[in-house]
Amino acid sequence: MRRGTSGIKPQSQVAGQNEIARRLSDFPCGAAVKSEAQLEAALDCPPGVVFVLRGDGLEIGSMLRRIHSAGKLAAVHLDLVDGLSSDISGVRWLVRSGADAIISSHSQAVRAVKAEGVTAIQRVLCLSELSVEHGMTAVSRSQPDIVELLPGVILPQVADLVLPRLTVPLLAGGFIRNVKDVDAVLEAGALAVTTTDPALWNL
Amino acid sequence: MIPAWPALPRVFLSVRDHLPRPPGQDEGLLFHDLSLTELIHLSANAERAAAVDVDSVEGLASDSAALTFLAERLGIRMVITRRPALTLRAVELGCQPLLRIHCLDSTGLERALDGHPGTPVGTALSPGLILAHLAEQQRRMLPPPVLAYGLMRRDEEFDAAWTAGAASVVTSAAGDPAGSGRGRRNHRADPGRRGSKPGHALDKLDERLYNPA
Repeated sequence: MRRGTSGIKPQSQVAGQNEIARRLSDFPCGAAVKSEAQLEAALDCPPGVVFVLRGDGLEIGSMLRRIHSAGKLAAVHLDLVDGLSSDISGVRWLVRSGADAIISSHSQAVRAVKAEGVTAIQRVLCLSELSVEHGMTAVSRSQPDIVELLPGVILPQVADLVLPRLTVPLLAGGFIRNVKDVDAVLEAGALAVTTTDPALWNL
Repeated sequence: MIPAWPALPRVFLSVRDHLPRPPGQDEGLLFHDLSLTELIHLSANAERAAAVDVDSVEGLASDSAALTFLAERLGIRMVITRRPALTLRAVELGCQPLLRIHCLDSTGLERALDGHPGTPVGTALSPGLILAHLAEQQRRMLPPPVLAYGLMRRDEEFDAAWTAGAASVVTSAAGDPAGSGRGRRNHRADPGRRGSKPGHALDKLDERLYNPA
């Protein structure tokens, strides 16, 4: 599944949006982790970006250092980790803890992430036509570096609602269970998928 | 004792601040994302199966008083909510409840189902498109009846949802997915119908409600 030839290089400093996107372009199955066991597996797999979806946000520094030591970048979901609120202070905490990218559904948090100079990933929750409309309006206002669409597996069916309004790379996560799903989502226009299934990390 | 409610219509037409089109003969109406005043106007002469997404009605609280108002004043006895406790209250009031589940990833689905009261409370799965993408094991965990609710626009998407076990789908599409007759298979008549003659359901509605300025 690797699409590029540039390979992964260790990154000790906060990475820019271009570096995150480049790594996802090279290995378009991002490793999403919700447990220590998944993290261990992710550190041994090719994807250059690890998406941290669970954990103690207040004690996340050591986890992020391990991710960096493995030569990978860390994107942390502000809304899902414990202990932090989805506001400017929560964003600043994650930035100081070493997050290379921060994910949130909240426009205020996304704007704060951008102000801190790290990659901002805004989630758009596709529940209905109205929620897509609201999500895309929020994206146009907060101007994230990357958008992540959930549930990602439906991207081929809603691409006409989303892609014409996007000017930044798109990720797709949620219910992507096999290679066929990955191919369909990438074909529909996603830069990469995020998945908790280790079998897909090695594609 | 588990109450016996009529089957859901195979198709619910999505109704926000106006009717997007005259509904097909066997279609129900699902009112959502509208104001309480609009709900009262639009539901007044619906004369067919009607459901309300309680949490999305501006001006209406998601509580027992709202359910009582819907049932006794508007005659609407199918309700959708994200609040498990409210679905149980709906059962007590003789309403047919569906717990709305936001189905964005596997973990979220599992957590939502942990809080699902189960039968007789059904499931409104959002987005409806996701139903056809779930693993068989995940689909079996959804307490029936299952309503595929959100982002359903194409014939093949309706078919996929029905094949995956949906009792009903919600559409905002211009066409009537049940119009060809496909959608009527296994359909049981009169699911909560409140009116007199099928096919005359919306004759009394003000024209302005079809095509607001």
